[in-house]
Amino acid sequence: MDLFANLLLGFGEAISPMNLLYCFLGVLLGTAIGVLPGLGPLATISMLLPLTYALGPLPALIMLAGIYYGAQYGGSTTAILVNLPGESSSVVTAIDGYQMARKGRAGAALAIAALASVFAGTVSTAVVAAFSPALSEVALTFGSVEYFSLMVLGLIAAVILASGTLSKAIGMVLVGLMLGCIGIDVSSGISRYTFDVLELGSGLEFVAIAMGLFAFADIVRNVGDKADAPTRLHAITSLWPNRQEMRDAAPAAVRGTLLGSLLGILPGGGAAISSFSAYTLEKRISKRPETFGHGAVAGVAGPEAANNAAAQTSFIPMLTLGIPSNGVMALMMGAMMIHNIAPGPQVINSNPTLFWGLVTSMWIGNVMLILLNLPLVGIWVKLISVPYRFLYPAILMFCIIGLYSIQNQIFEIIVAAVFGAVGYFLIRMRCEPAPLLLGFILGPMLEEHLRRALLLSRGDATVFITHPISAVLLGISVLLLLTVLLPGIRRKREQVFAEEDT
Amino acid sequence: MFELQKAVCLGRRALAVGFAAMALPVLAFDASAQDYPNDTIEITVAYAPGGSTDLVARALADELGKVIGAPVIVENKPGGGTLVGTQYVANAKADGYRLLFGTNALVINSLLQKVSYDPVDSFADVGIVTTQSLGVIARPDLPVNSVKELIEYAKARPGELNFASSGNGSNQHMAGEQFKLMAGVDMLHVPYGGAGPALTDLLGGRVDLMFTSLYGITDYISSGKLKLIATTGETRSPATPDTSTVIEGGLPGFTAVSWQALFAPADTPESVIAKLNKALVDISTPELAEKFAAQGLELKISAPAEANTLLVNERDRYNDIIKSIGSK
Repeated sequence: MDLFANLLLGFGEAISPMNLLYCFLGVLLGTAIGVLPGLGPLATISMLLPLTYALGPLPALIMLAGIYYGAQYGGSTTAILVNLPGESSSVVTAIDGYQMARKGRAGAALAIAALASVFAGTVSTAVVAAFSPALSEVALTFGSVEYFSLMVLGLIAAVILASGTLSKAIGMVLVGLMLGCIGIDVSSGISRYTFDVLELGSGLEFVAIAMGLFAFADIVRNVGDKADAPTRLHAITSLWPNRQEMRDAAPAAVRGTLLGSLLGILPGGGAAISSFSAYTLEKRISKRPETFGHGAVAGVAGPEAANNAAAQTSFIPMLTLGIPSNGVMALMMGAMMIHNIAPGPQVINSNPTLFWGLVTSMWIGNVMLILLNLPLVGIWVKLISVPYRFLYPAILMFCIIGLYSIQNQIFEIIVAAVFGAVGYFLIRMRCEPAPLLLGFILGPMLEEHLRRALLLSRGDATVFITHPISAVLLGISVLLLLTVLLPGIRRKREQVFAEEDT
Repeated sequence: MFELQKAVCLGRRALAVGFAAMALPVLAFDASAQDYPNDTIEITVAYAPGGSTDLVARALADELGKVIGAPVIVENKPGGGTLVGTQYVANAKADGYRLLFGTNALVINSLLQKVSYDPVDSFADVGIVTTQSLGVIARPDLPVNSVKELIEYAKARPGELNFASSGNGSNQHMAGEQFKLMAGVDMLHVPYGGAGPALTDLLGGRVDLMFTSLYGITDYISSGKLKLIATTGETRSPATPDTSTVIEGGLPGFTAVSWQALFAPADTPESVIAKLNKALVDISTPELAEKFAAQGLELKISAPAEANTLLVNERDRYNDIIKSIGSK
């Protein structure tokens, strides 16, 4: 078996004391920046990149990769505890994870997130090892036509994401789409809705919107609520998931892993929608979809598994095609280039120790993450029993530092403040922010791919149904829409939520 | 454990604050070159960290710091399609402590966008640092092997060929439009959000051509998954000495080169510019050249005047191209 020989080669490299040390440093740092709001892996890796010049290529890549998936992991901690999603992948974790925390199940939510992540990490590492070359061919078959249909599916998923009324969810998606239009348009190069504000040229910053809508708005609401009810919201029961929770989480983690592994391969937005898609999938197939949005265990396990799996498999296009699927991968390519390794299809053959060493180190890193984080669960949970008058100013301060560090300017802080006010208004109006964020992420991609697909087909719109992958994706979208719109189902859905509101 | 993480983070914060404090401008009233530099020099990069320009700027800052006698740091000011960082330096105090590491976008954006700077008048040129020829790359099943064949093929099929670029108003876009203009052919421009996705579609055979850096794609060319038709420099690229230029292929006067150069705000004292230029010349070692060559860039330090000539010529060239796009 070639695969085993290769994995053996990889482990031989990855378990050298030096590489283990850098792997540990990477995941430790990654967890820390994931927990700190605003300071994402992109900023951290770019700051640390010059330091890796002195290292060999393998330890450098191992450490940078550790930061990346460690941050995916740490980001869910703040999402669960204080409703603060640090990046797009943890937005959905905040929906049900935070509700679990409010019900005193913070420990269980954190443990489930950790276990689902490490399971996904293990499986997707195996996927990377076994299928990299084959999967890179799949990535190449995805053109603008296919991406457009994928984004359509994602947007319909966004509507299902919400647990409130359908019309409000659609409204939120539309607001998100409009916000996504701000900035210089890729297709025409023309500035839209920038009002000559230079900082708006590259569009609104996702992290600023997410922080405003989730964290800032939530703090305002909690401070307001506390005037009437000065009790502690997060009474903590057991730290560990109970048997029922484990039973709900396990199959969700498996499904999330599969979905995330698949979507992560696509260069260009696949990883971004993996956790959203996993959430939608769980909610669709759940026997009790009404629990979603109110602390459903599967709503934490599925997306957490999916985003971790996608984080791993997003290395595939970078390693095998030399095409970065996101900003972090572009930096990793930069790190390889510094060491005179041109990323591309030849890396696996010309630098087998690098390729397999990196792949196996990801698995080792995942094990380290769980060893590092499971004991921490108890400490994290204590953190939210800190009185609000200390906790909230601290959160706000870290958010503001993080926001400033995105582009070294105060503009992002202002954006977050504005969206904090908007978010508070939305909470009062019982509108959910998650569909808005998904609309914001998918909108620009949807438009870009639609216009490019039509440009390439010289205006022939039938390409969307003549391309098989695209046709299948659109077919699934129609089915999803039908299940939402069919009157019988719809009545039931409203009934369910009506019950819950009373 | 939590305490430890916290300590690590606080340590990094403190460090960051320290750096920020060092970067604060010292109001030196006497900007004479005698005591220049006596403070941290800041090179602004108008792109997010991690891109090619950022990496080169960081390598450059390290080397400059060694010879100039003051710390040199890189400050990323992305946003507004390079306008935020560019205007920041254009309006900075002309004392030699705030420099700009600019690219072709400095000129192109000044022609396409509403900007408050002039690429020639708002800056004192320190020198060109790197240049790089682009490659004319085609999908392998496109039945052309030379510039001549490409022009004939395109002429026979007006509007049928697609050329991809990393974005509207990018250097790649300009090169393609320039080719259309000078060869008298009609091709469709397909903009992408970056060179990566454009390359994916070229590899997937959904677009036909791209005018792009050869860096990172040489393996696709040697394995036959992409076809290199020509390079766009005035002379053949040292990296591909066997590939002819577009000029040799029958399009006299066609050059499209990407460059990176160092600029100071206009009215920076000449003695300061001279000192900076000398530092550039001093660090121009074979080792650094090799480092840049690994990234597909040619280290080519020029005199300030030469950088100025480049800017003026580039402005004329891009002006013609943009006019040709607009007149259709």
